[in-house]
Amino acid sequence: MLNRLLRLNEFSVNRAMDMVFWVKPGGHIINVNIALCRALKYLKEELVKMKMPDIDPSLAGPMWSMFVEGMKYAGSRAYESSLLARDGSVIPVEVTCSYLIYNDDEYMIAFARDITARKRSEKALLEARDQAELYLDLMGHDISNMHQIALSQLELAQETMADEGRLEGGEKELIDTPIEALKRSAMLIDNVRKLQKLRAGEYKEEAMDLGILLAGVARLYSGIQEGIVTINYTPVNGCYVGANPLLKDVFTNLVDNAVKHSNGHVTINIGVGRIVDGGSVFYRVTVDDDGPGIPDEKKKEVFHRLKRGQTMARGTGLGLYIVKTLVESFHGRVTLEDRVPGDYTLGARFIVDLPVRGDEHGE
Amino acid sequence: MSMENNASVAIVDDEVQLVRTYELLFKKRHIPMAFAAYNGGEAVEKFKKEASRPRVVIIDYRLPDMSGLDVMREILSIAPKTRIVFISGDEGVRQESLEAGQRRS
Repeated sequence: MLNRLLRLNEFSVNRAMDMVFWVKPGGHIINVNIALCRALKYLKEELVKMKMPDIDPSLAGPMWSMFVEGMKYAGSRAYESSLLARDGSVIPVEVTCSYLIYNDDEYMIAFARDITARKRSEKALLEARDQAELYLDLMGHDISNMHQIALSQLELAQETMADEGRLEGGEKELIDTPIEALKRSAMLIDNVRKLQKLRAGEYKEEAMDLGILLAGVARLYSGIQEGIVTINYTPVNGCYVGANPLLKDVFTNLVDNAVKHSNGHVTINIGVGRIVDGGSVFYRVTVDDDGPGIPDEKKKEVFHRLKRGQTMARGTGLGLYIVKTLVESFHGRVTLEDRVPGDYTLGARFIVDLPVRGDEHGE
Repeated sequence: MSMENNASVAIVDDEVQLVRTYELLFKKRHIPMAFAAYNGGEAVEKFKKEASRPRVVIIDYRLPDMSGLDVMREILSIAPKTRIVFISGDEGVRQESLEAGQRRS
């Protein structure tokens, strides 16, 4: 029975997908399975006359004795290496190696898996990331510069023509529309860059005072959109949350969204409160407007980003997707409801809940 | 933007059309332009040679031969009271340039 089990073991190891080999502390290979022979294009008889550094050159010279000492100390370890085949080809492998003592003799048994495909995918992924960064860099600098040139000269033309009384009716639209389109395009690029930086971990969390931040947002829009936007905001103090400077983008995007989708004048109310939910304390910021509102069937979609094959809905940019991504990165949540429950046509209400920062002092 | 009498502005940017845009803008606002330079070395040379030095220098952060910060340092070492305006799409540059500007003395 024992012999039968031993033969079964040998049979199984020989037919394993992974390469298996036994090595003595002196470096001599004493046994191998068929998978290793096939991968390295050697016969078993040839491999058992070789030493470990012959097939793994990274273990040559003093590295081998260091490797053995490390194995004796750790007992087992997993690592990545490369095996050298007869024809000089190199096979990247992931190895799990164990140090064994059997009948007072020392051995190491290694299981190696060919990771060529994985390495190729990783390389392709890195190349794709580099490409994406290059495109973002191009967008962020070169295309932004071009935007800036076009926008500045259009604004100069707008100002000059207005001064000369030549900007009326349809002609005004000919200038206003490209200015607006360029501004939206610039904002989209800006949002993409911020998302990329956020994902790359370039922003560090710090204490942000919601009161100061919201006052800045209210001031910004009241100043530049006078007559088109009314912002009602009652200042609050000392409401600290853990975030980064992109928190401001959450609220500028929400206000911007309300302005963009309104037909004419829009009133935006910004409120701040404190809630307890599930044992956690949050600051709740509500941003509501009296614009055209968002139908129920569209409410779930507004925070989603575009997927391949979808067409960009007019004016969506990445604004609300940015809002959701940022809020979630601050461990908060954003939801959308009707300003007046049950009647979406009376405007939308965005609710942003952000965890209260533990120390509350922002230090 | 209001300028004191004889106070002029210089532009340092490698984007020719952007420089042209500034020129048009300043002309419209009756702001005298001292010079335009398209790289850092040219900017420093022109700044040194300019008889009436510009009060304000607008500098792009990315220049072909040196960074805008280095141009700023060189200009401030010649005339520490010069006002520098940085142009960059990179937020990280803001803090770096503010700190560099504060070390002008």
